[in-house]
Amino acid sequence: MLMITGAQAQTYTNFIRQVQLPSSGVQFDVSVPAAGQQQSPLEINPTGARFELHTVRTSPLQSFLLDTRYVGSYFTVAEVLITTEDVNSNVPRTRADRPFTVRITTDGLRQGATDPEAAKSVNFYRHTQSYGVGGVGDGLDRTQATLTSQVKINQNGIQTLIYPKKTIAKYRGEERFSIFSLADFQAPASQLASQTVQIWPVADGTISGITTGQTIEFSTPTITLAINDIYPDARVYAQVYQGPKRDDGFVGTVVPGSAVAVNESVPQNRLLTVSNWDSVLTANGAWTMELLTVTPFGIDRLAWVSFNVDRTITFNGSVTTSE
Amino acid sequence: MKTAFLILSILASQLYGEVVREDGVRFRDAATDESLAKEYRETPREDPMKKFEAIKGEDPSVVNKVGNLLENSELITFNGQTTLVPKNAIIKIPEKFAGRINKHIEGAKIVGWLDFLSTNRGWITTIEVTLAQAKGEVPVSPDLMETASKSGNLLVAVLQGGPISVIPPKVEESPATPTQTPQVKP
Repeated sequence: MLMITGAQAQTYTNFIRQVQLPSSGVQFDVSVPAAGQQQSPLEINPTGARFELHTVRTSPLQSFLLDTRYVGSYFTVAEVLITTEDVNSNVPRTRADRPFTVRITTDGLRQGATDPEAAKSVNFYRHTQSYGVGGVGDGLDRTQATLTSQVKINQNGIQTLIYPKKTIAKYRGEERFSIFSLADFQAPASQLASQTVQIWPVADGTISGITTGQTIEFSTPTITLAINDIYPDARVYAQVYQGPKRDDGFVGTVVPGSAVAVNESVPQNRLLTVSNWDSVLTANGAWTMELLTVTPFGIDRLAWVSFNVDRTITFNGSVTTSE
Repeated sequence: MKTAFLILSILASQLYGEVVREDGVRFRDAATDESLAKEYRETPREDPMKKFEAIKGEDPSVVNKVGNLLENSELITFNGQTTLVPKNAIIKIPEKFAGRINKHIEGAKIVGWLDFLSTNRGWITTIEVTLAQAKGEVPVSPDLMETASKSGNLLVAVLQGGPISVIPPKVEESPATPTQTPQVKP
């Protein structure tokens, strides 16, 4: 069953194509309403067929492949489920410095000595593809993805694989995990299940306009906060607290005018200018300002600066009296 | 799902330089290439797929690439609407309707085949074919094709109402092969 959601039906038109295998050039349009089901009048056996769910955007005209299912003689069921710490996204996504898990489920594989090879195992593939510097994956040619690993699975059941963090903080790209049937005399290798996870870079940022060790005597200087690669679902803000830098996640006072919330599908950059933040410096002494981002993975400190506040008024002069 | 999330949480709590505040929020300095490389040197990891038997061979996702729908379709456009049918599903295009085929007008609404046909029956005729005829194993009756052509309408091959591509029969096929009789629906 290929699922069509209501949101897609509002702005896109869905088409289901049945492609007879092995490829003979015959394609059949399984006309269905925006949501619903219909039995295909075309035979499946003995060679199998691939069902493709496409959606077409009216303007600009473009088609997107949403899902595929192969239906053939051997009843093998496979599922790929990617889990990340970002549970707020419909599309699996995570960040370069975070692990994720891939759960694969296979059922229907046979064990008999006389069973054909294609009924006894499936192949599992991992593809990786970078979006390039600053890329967000638009117009990506996925046939150019790198086949990183390919293995055979011949046991029914659930397998959970844990993928560690990347070693490159600014990695941006995607990884696709797919299960394919084996090719045999009846049909070519066909995709049984697939899921893709997007991996976005770790944000970075700077605080300029104030330097470590600087003393603020009168009004606060105008500062500039530059943040790159803010995670698609994140907040960014600066906070101050008294004393030197702390590493325990201390909650300080948010600097007025420094907070930004991002709710996009791809990373964002922001440049903020903050002035007149005197009100949060309530005492003389050492202070620390931190630039933080809050994401589904926790709070990350992007930059910090420690400075001093000294607003003591000193009179230089003498007092005399006269009679 | 819960197990996987628990595993991720345990992994996360073991990350370098990370603290968990009293409110449960994890706090850390943003990772850099240097910090990630240092961590990797100290705790190298294996490919999780190494527990399976490695195989070699061509990439099936490239070899059996699922085609682009627009590239595998003919577009029929008229009166602010466009629909898509499989390539080779249009059997005949009369000259007067040539401007309506693969001439999508930007902004024309994309609609499904049944919706499009219901408002354009006046100039589109469907020809019911069998799967064998679609595959080119059995030719479509020449008499029927001639009759249908006389209508002057656009001819689209369908199977139980759904547009289907029709592959021309192989030349070497025996002329004695019996033909099945498709039905014409105006």
